[in-house]
Amino acid sequence: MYSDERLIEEFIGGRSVAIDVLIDRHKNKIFSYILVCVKQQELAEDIFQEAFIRVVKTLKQGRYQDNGKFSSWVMRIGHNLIIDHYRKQKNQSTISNDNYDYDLFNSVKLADDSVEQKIIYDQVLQDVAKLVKLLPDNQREVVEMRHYMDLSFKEIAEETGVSINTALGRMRYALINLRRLMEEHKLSLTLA
Amino acid sequence: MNSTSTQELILMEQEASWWLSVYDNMPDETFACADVKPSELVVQKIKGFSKALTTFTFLNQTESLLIN
Repeated sequence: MYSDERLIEEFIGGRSVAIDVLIDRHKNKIFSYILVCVKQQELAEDIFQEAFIRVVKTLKQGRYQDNGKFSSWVMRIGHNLIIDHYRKQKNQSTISNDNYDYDLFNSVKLADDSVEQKIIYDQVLQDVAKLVKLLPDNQREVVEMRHYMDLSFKEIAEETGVSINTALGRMRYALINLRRLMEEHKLSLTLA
Repeated sequence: MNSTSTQELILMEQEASWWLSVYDNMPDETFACADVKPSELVVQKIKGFSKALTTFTFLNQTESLLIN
C-alpha cells in the first residue's frame, strides 16, 4: 500500500488514479468532520467538494508543500471553508414573505432536516460516542446538549444554570479531553 | 435584521477549531468502515475534475484548463 506522500508524488507526476486512492482513503474522516460542524448533509457535501477541488488545483499547479499529514491539510481547507460559510450566514438579512402571492419558504432546501438527515447526523456522533461517555459528567452533558439536542451555548448555559463562558469552557475542555482519551486508551471507533 | 450575532459566530468558529483538533488526532483507520460518508456522486465529480484539470505555463504564469 502506497503512502499518502507517494500517492501525491504519483499524482503530480501525472498518474491521475493516485488521487482516486487518496480521496477514497480519507473521504469519510474529512466529510465526517465537516458534517459535525455544519450539521447539514447537502452543505457538508458542497464544502467537501470545494475542499477537494482546491486540493486538486494546488497539487496540479505545483504549489503543494509537504508539511505534514495529507488528511490534516485537507481538513484545514475544509475548516476554512466552514468558517467562510459561518461568516456569510452572519451577514445575511431576513426577508418578508408577506408581499408575495406564493410562499417563498415552501422549498425543500429551507425545510427542517428530514428524518434521514437526522439519522445520518446521529451516526456521525456515534463514531465518537464511545469517547464522549468517558468524559466527566459536566463536559459530557455539554457535548450531548450541543450535538444531540442541537442547543445553542446560550440555551445550554440556561439549562445547566451556568454562565455562557462556563458552558463554552466545558465544551473546550471536553474536546481537549477527547483527544487525550484517544491517546491514552488507543480506542478504536470503527463501527461493527 | 435577524442574523447570527458576533458572539455566536465566535463561538461557532471556536467550536469548529476544537473539533478539528479532535478529528486531526483520530487515526485515519477509524473511519475506514464508517457509515457516514459523502455521496458517491460527489466523489465521482471530484475524481472526474481531477482527471479533466490540466495546468500549463504561459508567459511565466501557471494556468488551469478543464479538458473533457
